[in-house]
Amino acid sequence: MSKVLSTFKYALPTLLCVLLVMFNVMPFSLNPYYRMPIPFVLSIIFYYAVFHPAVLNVICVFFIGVFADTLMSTPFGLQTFFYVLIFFIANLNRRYFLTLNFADFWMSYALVCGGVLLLMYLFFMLISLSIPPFLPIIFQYSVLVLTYPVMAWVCGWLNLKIGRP
Amino acid sequence: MENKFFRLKKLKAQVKLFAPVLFLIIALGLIGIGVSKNPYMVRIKNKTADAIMPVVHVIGAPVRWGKSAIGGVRDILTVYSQNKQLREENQLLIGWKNTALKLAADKKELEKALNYVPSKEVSYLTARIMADTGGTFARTLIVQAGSENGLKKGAVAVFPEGMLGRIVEVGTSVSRLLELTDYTSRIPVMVGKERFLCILTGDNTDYPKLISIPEGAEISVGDRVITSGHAGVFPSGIAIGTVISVDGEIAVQPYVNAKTNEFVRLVDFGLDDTLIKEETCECPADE
Repeated sequence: MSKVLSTFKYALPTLLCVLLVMFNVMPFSLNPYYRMPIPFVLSIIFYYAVFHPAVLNVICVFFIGVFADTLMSTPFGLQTFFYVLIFFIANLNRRYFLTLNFADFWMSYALVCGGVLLLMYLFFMLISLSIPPFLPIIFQYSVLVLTYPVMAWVCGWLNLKIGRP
Repeated sequence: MENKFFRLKKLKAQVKLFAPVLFLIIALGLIGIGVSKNPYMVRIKNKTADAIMPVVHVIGAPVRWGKSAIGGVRDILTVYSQNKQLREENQLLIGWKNTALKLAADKKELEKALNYVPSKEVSYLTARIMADTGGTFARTLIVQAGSENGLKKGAVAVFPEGMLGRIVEVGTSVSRLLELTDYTSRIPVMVGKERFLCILTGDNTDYPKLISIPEGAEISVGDRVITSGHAGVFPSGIAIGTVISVDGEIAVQPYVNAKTNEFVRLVDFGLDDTLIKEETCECPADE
């Protein structure tokens, strides 16, 4: 029983991401002007790729992306690619990120997240041969960066509960 | 022994480093499959939506209740002004009712005189909007009706005010609805009193644009946009919206907004259209 509980404990970040993906498709919007989901999953992946990559590893991130792609109507594979990309960037630089204080870490997140969202926008333009509106991306980015301390606090709290595997 | 241990550790570190690269390559492959619109991928997406949507519906229940409670309070606060507005509308509608009855009688007489063959009966069903699976890069919804309810690909989503979009993928219990604001949506339309034939194209904003405008066509702000019925995807005359801007691109404000609606009416006009035939040919039949 305790083994099952501990396995469940380690699956919590993945479950949180799955829940957030499902939350994103609910028919209501946080923004009255643009209908768009906020990909909070990016914040969680970034946090865990740095602080606890063993519980939210690249395989979990990949399947969360596939799940999001299956549910959403964006071109298949697009979200999977960018979820894995943010994991890759964060995990590759984790030794450096671990030395930073929170303000610098937050700035680093803002930089990486901005790059990933911009790349996603350009990638979509390329594969759809259309120019989607850019303002929603700015709104998504602002919300993701401004809410990062809250997301980091939640992830940190969850991380404490999980402990080391 | 120690050497072997270090070699294993090194190998593990290399696998850790290259695993994300491998998954990035696989994801790129998935994008390739997605862009090619593989019918099996579409089927997998439909099956997943069928399985997941009941869970999404349950998770979203508190938010729906909250929204409904806020709506209820708002209704109570505005009951006086709503009542006044409804009385005025009722007076206006009584006049329209008499006109409609007269026109219906005239139509019947004319049909009889011309020995008119009536068009096919339309069938419809009303479904709940379960999920908004669009966002910045798409404008689609998932509705709670599927093949088990007799819904077919190509059914048109309409409201009393006008059209919202059409069904593009049908699952067993849920289906995907493509809004007319999606970047892949192209609808043949007629604009204004002169009935200029154009194409309405979505661009993932709330205001789709008119393209393929005939030379010399004078389109002005306030012109009404309706379906033309060309290509046989939609019957002619379904209201879409009004032209709101003619500077540079011609933008249209649709009458219907998915944000404000919880239920949608899906009408099967029984059109034997080329688009539906084409789409059906690409996908193997669902066993």
